[in-house]
Amino acid sequence: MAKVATRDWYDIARDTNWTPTYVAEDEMFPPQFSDPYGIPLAEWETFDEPYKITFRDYVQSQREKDVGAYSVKSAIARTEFYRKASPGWKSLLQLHFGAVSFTEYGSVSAFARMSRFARAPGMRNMANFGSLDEIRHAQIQMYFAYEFIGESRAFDWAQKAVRTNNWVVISERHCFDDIEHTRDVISAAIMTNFSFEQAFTNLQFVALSADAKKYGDYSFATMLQTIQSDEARHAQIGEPLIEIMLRNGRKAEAQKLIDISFWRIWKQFSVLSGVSMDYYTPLEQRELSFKEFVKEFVGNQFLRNIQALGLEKPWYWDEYFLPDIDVYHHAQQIGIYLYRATEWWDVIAGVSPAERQWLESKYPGWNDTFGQVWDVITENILAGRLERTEPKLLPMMCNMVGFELTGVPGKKWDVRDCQVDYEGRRYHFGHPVDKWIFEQEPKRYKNHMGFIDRIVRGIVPAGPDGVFDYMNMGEADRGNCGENFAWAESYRRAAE
Amino acid sequence: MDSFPLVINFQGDYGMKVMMVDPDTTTIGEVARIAHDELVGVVVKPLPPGTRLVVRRHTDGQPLDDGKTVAAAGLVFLEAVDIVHG
Ligand SMILES: [Fe+2]
Ligand SMILES: [Fe+2]
Repeated sequence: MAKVATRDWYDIARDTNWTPTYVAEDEMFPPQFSDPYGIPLAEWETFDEPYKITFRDYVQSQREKDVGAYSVKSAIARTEFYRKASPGWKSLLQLHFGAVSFTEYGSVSAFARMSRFARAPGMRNMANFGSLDEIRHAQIQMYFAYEFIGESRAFDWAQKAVRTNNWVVISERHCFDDIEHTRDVISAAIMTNFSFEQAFTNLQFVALSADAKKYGDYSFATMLQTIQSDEARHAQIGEPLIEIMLRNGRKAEAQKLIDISFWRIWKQFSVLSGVSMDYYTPLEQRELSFKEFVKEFVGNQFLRNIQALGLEKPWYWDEYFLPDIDVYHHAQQIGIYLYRATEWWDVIAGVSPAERQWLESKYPGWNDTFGQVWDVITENILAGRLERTEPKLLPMMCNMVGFELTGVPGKKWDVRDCQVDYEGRRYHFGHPVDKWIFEQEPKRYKNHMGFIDRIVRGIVPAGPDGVFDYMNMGEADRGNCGENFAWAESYRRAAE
Repeated sequence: MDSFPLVINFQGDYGMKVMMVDPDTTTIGEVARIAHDELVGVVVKPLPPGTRLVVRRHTDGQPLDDGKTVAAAGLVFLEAVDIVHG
């Protein structure tokens, strides 16, 4: 029997809309879940996914990806590689698996809601593949992390993180719950597929995989590449949605969704990828600086995509986003090192004399600002005053991002707090854009208790271990200096 | 009891900190002194000799009287203050 070509049956097969007779249309697709923008069904039916794939082809290509990723080296060889890896690379893996695995698992349900509630048949079809993709991403990352479980407790966090109130995890949940899980499927898809996946996953999965390859961690590099190839496909749900929104007079709404989500995701990636690339990746294996990666992968590509669709760059682009690339992750890196006991991974300073030279060359002015704080930390370590490398005062945190409220230290000191008094509570934001996001919809954000809110309101138990108990962090779970402070010795040698 | 949080923005630091105080007994001068002891030599380099610290409300830059208590100075729960070289 002759086989019918895919293009001849694809459109009919995935055109699964019908007129319901047992329930009203609005009961089947409640507007608050399916489409609060009131766009006619005929418009949704024009949704045309740029990347078309059949289930048969999908299964085959996913199988090939898995074979490639799981079999690059045997588990034993991977463990051997881990043992011999530099402290920086170990820390990078510990941070990555703890922070990323559960967000992949979360994305499974984000796509499943699209499959259930989207009114566009093509979108439901693509979202089905999206859910399957994200199941694979969660599984492969948990599998790889699990192989290292005998090497470090940090890898427990691939499974454990999401069920704890660790402050980093609270920050991630606040962000990803906001953009992926608590909005109608159209808004969530624009925020997730367009802003998050199309703009940012390249950073963690293409840029980091380039570093991994250079470092010789081929299994990690291959795993990251197979994940990104899925992301590149299902991220394409966003563009046709934006086109439909624009055609139906909803440009302002689409723009705002992008402005909010781009910033929220930027803050997360700035810390996760920024610290990994500019401090944890061994100097010799750094492909580009984080700033160079962001300018290329996020700045140029995202701007091209957004302008091609007829949207504007986010209102804060020149004034706030571009300058933030130079500072945010450097300030966060200091706090991550100082408050290391509250993190599940072993932290890396990444500021030996040679590394500082690199930082100064990539970020002119680094020595006069961030370097000033590192001077103090370095001196304390050299003088054996380790207790002075862990501040007793708690850090203040941003009520939107959930990370430390930071700015520029040292000779160009500039740390600002943007405040909102709302219904008797004072909210603190590390940046005017975070404050702007809160003000767009205070009802959405007002009841959230950030980590510091929980401490100052007595929700976290008192006592020296109260904070750790609250975060499910027994002593073995608490981060240390991944190099056991040996990095500072290079200054002693340099002085001699 | 030290159950009242202030947000401390100490000159030279990379970010803000939280300090728990007793608003009825802790003075503004003491807030500056505690912040100095906890942060200088931890995240900030030693201050030039003779540096006097000035405490200002972060929102409006209003200087606060060293001798007043936190409550008498009218600071609210999680009020942010700048502590800068005078
Ligand atoms: Fe994913
Ligand atoms: Fe994804």
